[in-house]
Amino acid sequence: MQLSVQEQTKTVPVSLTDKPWQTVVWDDPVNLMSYVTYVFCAHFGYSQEHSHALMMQVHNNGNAVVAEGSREVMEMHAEAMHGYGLWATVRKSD
Amino acid sequence: MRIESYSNKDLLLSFSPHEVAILRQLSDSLVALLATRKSQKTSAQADDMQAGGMHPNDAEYFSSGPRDLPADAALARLLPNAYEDEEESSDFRSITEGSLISQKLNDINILQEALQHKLAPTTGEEIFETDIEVCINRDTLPHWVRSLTAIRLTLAARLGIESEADVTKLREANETNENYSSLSVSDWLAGIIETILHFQPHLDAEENHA
Repeated sequence: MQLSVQEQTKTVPVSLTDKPWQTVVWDDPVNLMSYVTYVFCAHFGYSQEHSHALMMQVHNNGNAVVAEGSREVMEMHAEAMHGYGLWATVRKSD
Repeated sequence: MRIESYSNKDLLLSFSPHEVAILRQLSDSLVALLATRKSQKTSAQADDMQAGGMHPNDAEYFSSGPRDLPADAALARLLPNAYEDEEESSDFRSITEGSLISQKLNDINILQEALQHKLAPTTGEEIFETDIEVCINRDTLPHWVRSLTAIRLTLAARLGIESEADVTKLREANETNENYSSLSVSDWLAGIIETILHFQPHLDAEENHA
């Protein structure tokens, strides 16, 4: 069976020191749940299941870390999220 | 809005003249709103130039946009801060806001172009009485859902919606309330987005099978 790219990368263990920055998406009362899931699928290439789980995390917890990595890449993701109308911020991981 | 047909390549939606008028009016308003932010940048930089601080040939003149969160609630929601820290947020905004606005204008432009009525062969003027058929495919889909979302976010900001409770309160309001009709329009737009997204996986089907 051929694994998708996302499934392959998910199995790679990465320490926090390798991913010092995060893109965080915040909950808002306007964007549709289906739309937020779509954005995660379309932009990050995440699977439908993973995107849905992230969306639920945003919805229930108020926010979710949607990506981790270098500051430049996290800023690129945040800008893309703003392009989609999602509210996203960049922060250093704890 | 009616679903005319769908295949693995495209989804055809048709909008009544009244629906087209609403979509055009809302998208025109959004363009005008974003333009106010763009012109702010130009006038501020013109001041800089007059003061002798900057020359139009300076690289900074082109790269350095506004640093502050827009005062307007809708613009602030469309162009939010990317950092909790204000200084970091301003630095990021000064470099990226211009292209973010351009992307949004491009999205809306694609929607507006699709919402042009047929022209009368004799007068060359738009025939406003006809329905418009819109083709949503893999290329146009992102522009459509992003534009409709931007319009919904703008309407919500105008209605002062900041929480789920605000939405509930508006829904319970009297139907004659002006805000109630704005919310109805927003719900209608949400329905269009949901419809488009419902067909989205099928529009990708061709690629998955390749």
